Amino acid sequence: MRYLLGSVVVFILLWSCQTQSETKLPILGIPDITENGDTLHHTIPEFNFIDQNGEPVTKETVEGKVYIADFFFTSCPSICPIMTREMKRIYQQFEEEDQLMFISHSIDTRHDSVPVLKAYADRLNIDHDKWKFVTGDKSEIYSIANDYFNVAFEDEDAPGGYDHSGRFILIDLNGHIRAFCDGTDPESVDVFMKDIRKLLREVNQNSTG
Amino acid sequence: MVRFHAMRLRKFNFLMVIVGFIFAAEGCHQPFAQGQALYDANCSRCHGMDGQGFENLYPGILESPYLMTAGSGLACVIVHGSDYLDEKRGGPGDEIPMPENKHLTPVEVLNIINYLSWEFGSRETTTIDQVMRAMEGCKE
Ligand code: HEC
Repeated sequence: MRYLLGSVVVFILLWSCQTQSETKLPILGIPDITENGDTLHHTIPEFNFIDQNGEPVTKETVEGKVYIADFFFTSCPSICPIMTREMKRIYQQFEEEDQLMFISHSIDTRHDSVPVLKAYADRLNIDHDKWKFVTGDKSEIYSIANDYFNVAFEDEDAPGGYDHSGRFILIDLNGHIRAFCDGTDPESVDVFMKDIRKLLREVNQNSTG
Repeated sequence: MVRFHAMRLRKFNFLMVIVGFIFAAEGCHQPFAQGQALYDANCSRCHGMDGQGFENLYPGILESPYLMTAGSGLACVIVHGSDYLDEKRGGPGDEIPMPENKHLTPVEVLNIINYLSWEFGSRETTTIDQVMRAMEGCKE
């Protein structure tokens, strides 16, 4: 009798997984409409940065991966400590997930050299293959920030000399933005983690079925 | 008669328990409310609400030697941040810098110090004279 009950429960669970069709995360950003009426979704352009180990980080680095992007600098006195804390919380939640990566862009290209980023990453106790701290050409970083819905600019009056927004951005396999959150707000990050999970399920479904 | 005594005793015990609770609750309420508010606003994002720090990026307040020698160096750490710490070390390391807090008045610095000492340290209290004197001697 017990066995029977058990298998009925298992069956119902499996069945409900099968039939539950989840609403997908939207593709965010303003799309372009081409002359022949096709929709071109907002897409992250090609990039060429250097990570904490001096290795190049390009679109190839994140090929086949979902990734999260943010903008920070190591000596940032104001919002970055909270952002880094929250990003590490996400990192820990998805520690076992091979298909997720992290790219943190430094907007302080003058001070945050490769060794400085390396020291920062070491102190944070993370896997360097999974979480990239990148630097590069200043104008390229500031311009890609806009593509990631972030603003970044130098401002003498801002704490630490730079002003920037603390958004975390979720990007799918096609370079489309699928979700974002306020990286300084734990509750917003909690919702974001559900979105990450959703996107990972979508990616896995597409690859298996 | 014996029974009557027992009743009274029980009532008395009950009363003492209540009184005990009130005192205990009073004790939980830490006396440096402004210091706590200032810590939350200026320090906790790096050192944590619980003073534990964060990974190896931001050191814990709990185990800091500056907390043991209340009054002296701590005021300088708070006001000058890494400028002071580097000077004591004899040069910058690869630590993340701690920002300065020059916007804080001596009384505010005092309140933070007393809060830290109460919450994480020896509970020794510092006076405003000690802080003023320490702050004059930060840069030597
Ligand atoms: C932006 C992050 C940040 C903020 C905000 C901050 N600190 Fe720090 N603090 C640090 C870092 C990083 C160090 C280590 C710096 C070093 O060793 O040069 C440090 C070091 C210290 C130390 C010495 C620790 C030790 O190792 O002995 C004390 C004490 C301290 N901070 C107290 C405070 C207090 C009190 C406040 C608020 C008024 C504060 N900090 C605000 C980042 C911060």
